[in-house]
Amino acid sequence: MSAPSDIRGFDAAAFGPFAAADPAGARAAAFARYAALPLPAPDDEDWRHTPLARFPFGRLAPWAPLGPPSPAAATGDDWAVEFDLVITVSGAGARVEDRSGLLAARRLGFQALETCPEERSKPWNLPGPPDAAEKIEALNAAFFTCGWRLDIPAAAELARGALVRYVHDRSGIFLPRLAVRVGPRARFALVEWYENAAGAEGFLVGATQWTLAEGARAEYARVTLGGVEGAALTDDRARLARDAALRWTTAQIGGRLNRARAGAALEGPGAEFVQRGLCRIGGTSRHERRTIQLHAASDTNSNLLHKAVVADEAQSVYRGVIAARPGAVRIDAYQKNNNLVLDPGARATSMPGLLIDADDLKCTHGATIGSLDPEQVFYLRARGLDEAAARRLLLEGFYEDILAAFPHESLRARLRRALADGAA
Amino acid sequence: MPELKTDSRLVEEYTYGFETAVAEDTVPPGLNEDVIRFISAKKGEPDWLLEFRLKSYRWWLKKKEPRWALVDYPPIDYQAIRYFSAPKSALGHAVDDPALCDTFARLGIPLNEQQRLDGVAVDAVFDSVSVATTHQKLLAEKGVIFCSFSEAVRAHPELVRAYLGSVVPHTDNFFASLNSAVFTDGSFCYVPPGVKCPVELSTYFRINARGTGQFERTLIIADRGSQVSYLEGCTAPMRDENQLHAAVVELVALEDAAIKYSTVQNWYPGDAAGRGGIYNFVTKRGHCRGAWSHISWTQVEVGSAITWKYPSCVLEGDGSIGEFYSVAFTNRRMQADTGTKMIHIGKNTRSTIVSKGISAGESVNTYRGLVRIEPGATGARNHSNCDSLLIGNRCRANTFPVVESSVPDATIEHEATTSRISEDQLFYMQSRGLDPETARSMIVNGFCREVFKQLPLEFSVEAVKLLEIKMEGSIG
Repeated sequence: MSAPSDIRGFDAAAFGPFAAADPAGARAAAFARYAALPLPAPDDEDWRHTPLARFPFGRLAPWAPLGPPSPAAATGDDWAVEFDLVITVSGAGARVEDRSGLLAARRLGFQALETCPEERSKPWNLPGPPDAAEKIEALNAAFFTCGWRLDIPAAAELARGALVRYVHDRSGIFLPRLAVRVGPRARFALVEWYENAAGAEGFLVGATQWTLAEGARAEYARVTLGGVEGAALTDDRARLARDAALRWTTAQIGGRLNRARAGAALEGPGAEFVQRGLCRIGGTSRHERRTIQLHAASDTNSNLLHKAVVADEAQSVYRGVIAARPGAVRIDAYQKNNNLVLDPGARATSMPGLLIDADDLKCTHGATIGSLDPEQVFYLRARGLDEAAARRLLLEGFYEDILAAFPHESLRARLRRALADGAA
Repeated sequence: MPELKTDSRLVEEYTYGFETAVAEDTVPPGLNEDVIRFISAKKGEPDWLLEFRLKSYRWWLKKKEPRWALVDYPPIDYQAIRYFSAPKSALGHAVDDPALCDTFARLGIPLNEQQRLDGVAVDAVFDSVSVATTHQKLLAEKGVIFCSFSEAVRAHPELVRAYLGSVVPHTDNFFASLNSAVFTDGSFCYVPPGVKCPVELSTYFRINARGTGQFERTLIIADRGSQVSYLEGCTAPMRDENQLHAAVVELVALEDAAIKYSTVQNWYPGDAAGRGGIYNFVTKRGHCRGAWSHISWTQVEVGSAITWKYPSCVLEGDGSIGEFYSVAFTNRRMQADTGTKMIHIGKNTRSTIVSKGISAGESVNTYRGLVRIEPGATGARNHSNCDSLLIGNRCRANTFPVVESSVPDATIEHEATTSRISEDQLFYMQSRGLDPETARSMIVNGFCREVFKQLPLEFSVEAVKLLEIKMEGSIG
């Protein structure tokens, strides 16, 4: 029986099989929260560009919860060689490759989220109307297909980090969930790589939460390769304690419809947050990237750069907020969005924003929308390159400062290849 | 450097807060079709204009008041406002009324032709009615029509009818619909083809009567190849109640024409506790209708309890240019949600936005802007710079620009910074012998310089002084 505030296909009846995979009661608590939250109103400005009704809820069914991961020997997969831990999830289940013996030696904690009490993520509480995106986060917390909690102990040095690779090879809605806690002064890196395997009509609804304790340093990369038909709806958030630092990179390539939010709350002095993001879409894709830089403590820094390349008749929307709470002084926050619009019919919208309630600070944002500089194209052609090669080279240059921020050269190489394929 | 605390004994003298005792002709409070017919009849309007009002009123009845801006105010009782108030003598010739002349003299606006401001033609509007217009002969020689809106309806109805509502239709928004129903007066200007208007044109608005709303309507048309520079100034008495000012300004620039529209807004902003003050909910829009036309908005907003306005340009003509320069200063409990919209439709259009917000006290200052490049607007260029300065740690500044482009060869750049006055700069100036107030004043002046230099010369000097007065006592 569906309630009016239910998202299509995610009602109490659909929750049944998930309730069975809920030893700690976390899913049930999340479902109660989900049911109580309202859907976005039809005229909700926040959802104007990527309305909830356009996502394939109801048309696609969620994947059933996956069983525990099975250990696997390291495969010959060369590009993952720089990671200590590789988890691969597909329709066949989850596999864990403990390449450096970290799990065996208990150098980090790795538990299924079903066995943990509810990881309730703190809502943003920005000024303005209540955020309907909280409902998506609650939906993921109740209906996740596979979810793990990683605990990095204090002072652990795990810079090579973990790769979680999702291969969406079966039609349906895939809901991964991750909770990462990095202990004081520990170092860790995590890459979440999602690919919509050709032929599968995939819809990703993901949510990842990071909690960085005092002095923790982490790198997080979320890569979503949507293919031609994929849809994705993700909501990731991080909380940084005193002196913690997070470098967060995102790449969204292809896909028919994406709405992604990434936000960090800097809650202790000395916390630092850097985000670099890239989006490359074509065809008739619609993409919305939302970011939040919330400074809740003094003496914090954040620096965000998001680039979008929009080809054919695609549409890209960027909405960013830098919020400084009352009393959060001596902060330096920067937000930049650069957009390249390649074809007539393509469209970019940029909405950077500042919500400042304190005074002794510096918050800046900038946005540009343009196309490849014809003078630069001419220069390259005068050096003997044909027009297509010249444009390709300039695009590679445009992406490069974002790509340089991703961890591990093998990952960067893989991304460059994915971008080049898309550009064909 | 010692930490400077916000001075809570902030008492700023609003020197224009006096009241004038003048016999007034008013209508009882409330709004219905009869009130509108009364206003229209009182002004002797033709049927088509009464129809325009009634059409707007009926549309307004169906609309809901918008509440999306970041401003907080109690509900307005539209039936408790009086929609018409005219000084009795204005219906004849106002210049003979000593009280009125005196009011404007105190405001620095001499109505007497011998004392006129050289190079500035003035239309003075007292409550809802235009009471005097200077320089009529000089303008008539050039064929420039500059008179009150009501006078224009009487003498040039065909011009008014052709352009009224063509830039801000009666259906545009809630407050514009209300204005279209009950506007009583404002300024009208028409500059014939090829004429560069010989003097600055200026309108001075003064709200006086209690319990009234001010709904003026201004229409400026620059015909092909013409140029005009227009300035509006406004003040109001200090009162405990809030008064609504919902004006509509429409500008039309035909091919190769240029209009410069400057505003120095100094409505009563309310007292230190946020009581009283004017609600300034205004719709201003310029239409660059012809190719190579140019409309420039410059505003210095230092008053009114709540400011809610977005002077905008619709750049339809190929090669047209739109500009917006703004300084918005809020103090104590004032709130401002202001900005601009630049809509690029024609080819090779250009827009520039420079917005400087200064917040002090416990005020909230929000910049909200839109730059939209429609499909077909190839070669569009925009540069926006929105900066906010915070004085004191209890005020707020928000910036919400929206940039939308549907064209690959448009170039759009936007930048914004929010910060406070640099301690290093203050220290440097004090070490050169300046006291903190003067140092701060100079820095703020420098912050606003790019906007002030857009104002006509006489007024840029006044604007600098006005901002200094407003900032007195706001230490931070």
